[in-house]
Amino acid sequence: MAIKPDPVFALIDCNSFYASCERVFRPDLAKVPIVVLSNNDGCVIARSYDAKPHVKMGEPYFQIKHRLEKLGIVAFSSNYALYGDMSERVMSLIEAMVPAVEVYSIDESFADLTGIADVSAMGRKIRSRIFQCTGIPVGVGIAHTKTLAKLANHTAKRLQAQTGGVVNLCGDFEGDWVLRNTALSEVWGVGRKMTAHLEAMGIRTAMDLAKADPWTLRKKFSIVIEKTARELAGTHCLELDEPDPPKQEICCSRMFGNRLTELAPIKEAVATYMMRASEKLRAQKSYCKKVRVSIRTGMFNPDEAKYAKGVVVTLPYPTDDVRLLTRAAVDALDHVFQPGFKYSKAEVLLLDLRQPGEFSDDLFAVNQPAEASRVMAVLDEINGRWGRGTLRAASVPRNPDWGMRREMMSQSYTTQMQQLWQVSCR
Amino acid sequence: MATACREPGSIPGDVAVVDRSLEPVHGDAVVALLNNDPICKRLCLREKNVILQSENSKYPDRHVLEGDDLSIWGVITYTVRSHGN
Repeated sequence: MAIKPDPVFALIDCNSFYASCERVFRPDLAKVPIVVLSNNDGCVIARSYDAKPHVKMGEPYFQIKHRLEKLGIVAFSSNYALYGDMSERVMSLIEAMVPAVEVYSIDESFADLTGIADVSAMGRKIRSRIFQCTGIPVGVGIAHTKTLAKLANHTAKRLQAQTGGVVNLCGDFEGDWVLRNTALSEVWGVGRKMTAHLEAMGIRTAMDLAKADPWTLRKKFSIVIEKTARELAGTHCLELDEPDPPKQEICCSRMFGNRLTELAPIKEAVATYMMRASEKLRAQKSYCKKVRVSIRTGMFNPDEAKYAKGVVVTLPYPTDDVRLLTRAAVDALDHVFQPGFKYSKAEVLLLDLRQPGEFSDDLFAVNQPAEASRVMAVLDEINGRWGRGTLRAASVPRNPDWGMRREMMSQSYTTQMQQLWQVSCR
Repeated sequence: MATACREPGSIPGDVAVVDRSLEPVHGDAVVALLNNDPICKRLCLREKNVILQSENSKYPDRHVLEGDDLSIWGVITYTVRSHGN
């Protein structure tokens, strides 16, 4: 009788992903520190390894612009078209090499390496193939549980030189060392508050948590932290592709490219954000009963008058119809807009989400007309095939004046024929 | 990945299709990084010497010397010609 092999998970994640993507087509920047800025060139969201000692995550660009120039650090606006495409390439390469993959985020994925004879060699193979084919450096952490694989990956990152970027914790010795030398806050699923609670109980390192009594943890906190502790101890509780519960709230919020003082462009912006939010709503097959719309001025400039107001609108029935949602949100603006202020941001929040077929305690509850659901299905199909925004509400402009600032954006080297890398043959 | 490559002997504006997964061998058209500068050339390995050749006689061959830093970014597998339409 064959014994089922112990499960083996790998966590593969790209080093400084956005910065690495920018460097692929800029070999001249291989040894130059770079940073990538958030939407609107607001603040730092990614740093290359050599930029880390000089720049903190989240620092606002306007504050550090001079420092960057002085140190010769190059800044890029975020180029999501490029990062998304590079991510797909990395994930496809991994999918071609291992039995199963769960894409966790734009730059991380879990892989199932169960049954593979030499997992460390496979880890090194994954790392070198991804680098060869895409130019993106990755770290690989391997262990018997997802939580330990995350820890292994973190160690691979921390100790690049000694580990070659691949760490395998399936052996007891390595596993123990990492657990004893990893702080609680580094453990996947343990946030700041939980760290404080656990430290109060005398649990300080990952090893302490692995040895803690799971039942006590479950009673005191939740099943989530219990599973984390069990996983640290080597018992796998999390499968590849644990389904995400549908979100309870969906938010779409952006800063405007420049301050807005009139109601009309703010209505356009809110209609655009609602388009995006309703796509996410339909993607998780939910309906929404309440919408909250809010606008505010800048909050940091002492010379600007401050104002912030939001209002919640209840819809006549749970809906996913972008027309109804947009009308509700845009009309609500009449109740929050005040002339005389310089608005910087708007937010659309979809609340009170329901799944179809959920029990309603209202005997006279009305449902969305079937015709509306059919229209939404067609809308999503057309936009899926021809690109987001192909078909949209009339209030959503094609090229808004209040659109994002992105002054230092690189070319979309891999997604736009007119923006290919230009190489000469002199 | 596709790269726009003005390869001599071809019409400017040709698009080159570059495959990074291939190991470059003698005779391959490649995108090379010579001292971090990208160029399209033909790779010529003669004993211990590496020469980056042009297709166009207007441009001389580039011998790779001791102090040079050379790496191959990718191998060019196809070029696509635009006919201006």
